[in-house]
Amino acid sequence: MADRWFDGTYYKREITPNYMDCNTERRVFLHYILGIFSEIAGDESQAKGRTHEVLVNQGRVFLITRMSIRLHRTPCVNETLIFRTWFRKTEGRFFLRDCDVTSPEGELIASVSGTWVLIDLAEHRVLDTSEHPLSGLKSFSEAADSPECRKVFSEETLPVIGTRPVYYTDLDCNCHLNNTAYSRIATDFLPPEYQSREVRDFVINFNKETKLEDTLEIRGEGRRDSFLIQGIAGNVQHFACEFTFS
Amino acid sequence: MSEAWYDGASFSRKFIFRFGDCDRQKRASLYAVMKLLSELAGEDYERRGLGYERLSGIGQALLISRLRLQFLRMPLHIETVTASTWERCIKGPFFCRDYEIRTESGELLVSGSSQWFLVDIISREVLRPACLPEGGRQEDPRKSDAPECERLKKLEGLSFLGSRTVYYTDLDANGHVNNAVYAKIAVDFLPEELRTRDLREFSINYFTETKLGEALEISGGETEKGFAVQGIAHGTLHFGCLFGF
Repeated sequence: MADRWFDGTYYKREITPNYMDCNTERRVFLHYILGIFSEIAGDESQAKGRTHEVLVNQGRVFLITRMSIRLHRTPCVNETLIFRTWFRKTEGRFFLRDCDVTSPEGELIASVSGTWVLIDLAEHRVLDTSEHPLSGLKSFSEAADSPECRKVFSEETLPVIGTRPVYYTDLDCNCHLNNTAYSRIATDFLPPEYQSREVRDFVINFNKETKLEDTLEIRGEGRRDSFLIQGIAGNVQHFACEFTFS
Repeated sequence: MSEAWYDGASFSRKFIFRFGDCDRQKRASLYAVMKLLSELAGEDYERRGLGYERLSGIGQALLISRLRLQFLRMPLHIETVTASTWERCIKGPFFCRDYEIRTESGELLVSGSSQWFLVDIISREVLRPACLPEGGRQEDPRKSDAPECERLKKLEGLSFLGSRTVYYTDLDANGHVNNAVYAKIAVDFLPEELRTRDLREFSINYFTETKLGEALEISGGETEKGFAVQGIAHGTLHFGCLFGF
């Protein structure tokens, strides 16, 4: 049986997380779910002929700017998950895509959203959505039950909680830190008392590309039911995210 | 879920290496290859009634001790491959397991040999293979093209390459650094000029478990057999590996 298919409206993928995709409690890592969402967005583009190569040859690339997820419950190892994604609409210069994650019986496990921008590789500028290689993108009114992909910020300067060098294996084919790596790094720097808590909502902003030679200064602070983390290099914020716990 | 099947003792699964599984050259990363093979072995044991839950329920775990891979070519981004594994034999305390990764047309890309052993999860004592409960184990004596696993020793005089903190997401359900993560660490500390070269062989030995909060001192250098990388914490060798380009 194919593990990914297009049902005419939605692009779907069935996946079973392994032990290596889970924490020590055998619960699926947040970054794993976000990574699959990011992958299937790419799968759908690819299935429609807009491969990474085609875009790069046109001097363009899609970059993700924000992601959000609501975990109705955290899935476990060896649990079959069905990801269903759809392009929702364009808003300003952003392409908005949603996704839900269900059990084979239809139980809603997680709702995910993401915003992408189209970049001109030569000029390093964000292109208008009308410059998308396929005109007349079909949009949907249906929205996932995920938190808004809002801007994450803190009015106060957060305390430094660590530093994280960028390693070669954090990079992807775009030669920068893969988007999944940011939420993995954020999880790594949560204090242990937060790592063991159930995440309900998570929002992340990707502000600036991070390269191999960078070292991220990790700043963070907990509030009663949330924890904010920022990654900064050279006084510039590269990412910011907020975990909200059940 | 992607297509998976048995052919006698051999368990196979189709797989596609995606964006996040590849390096800057759009080749599957060593980590992604090892993760696939490790998951495949785990799934094979799971399907044969000897999975993590069953074994941990009786205080046992199967851990990998050595792995040796031979690459004819690294799988590429979005290339569909078939990965296969089979238990080959029992030799002393080891369960010998082999691997292959082939293209859809059958071209061999990767072959591998590995040695696993059974431990008591409380005492960490190595158990005799006969202590493994009855399951649907099957053996196939066919040897993959990869050479037998080799015994690597602690090397003196290697250059210090850096220190690597163990992070929470490096750990697996056994509460220690996952076996594929060591390859990721080793690649991260390779000299830049080696990372772009074609990997032909990789051999790794796991000596001591590494836990959260530990930091590995990574050292490495050219040897007669290839580029060696090893990780040491508190004076104890945790892993050693050898890259052949």
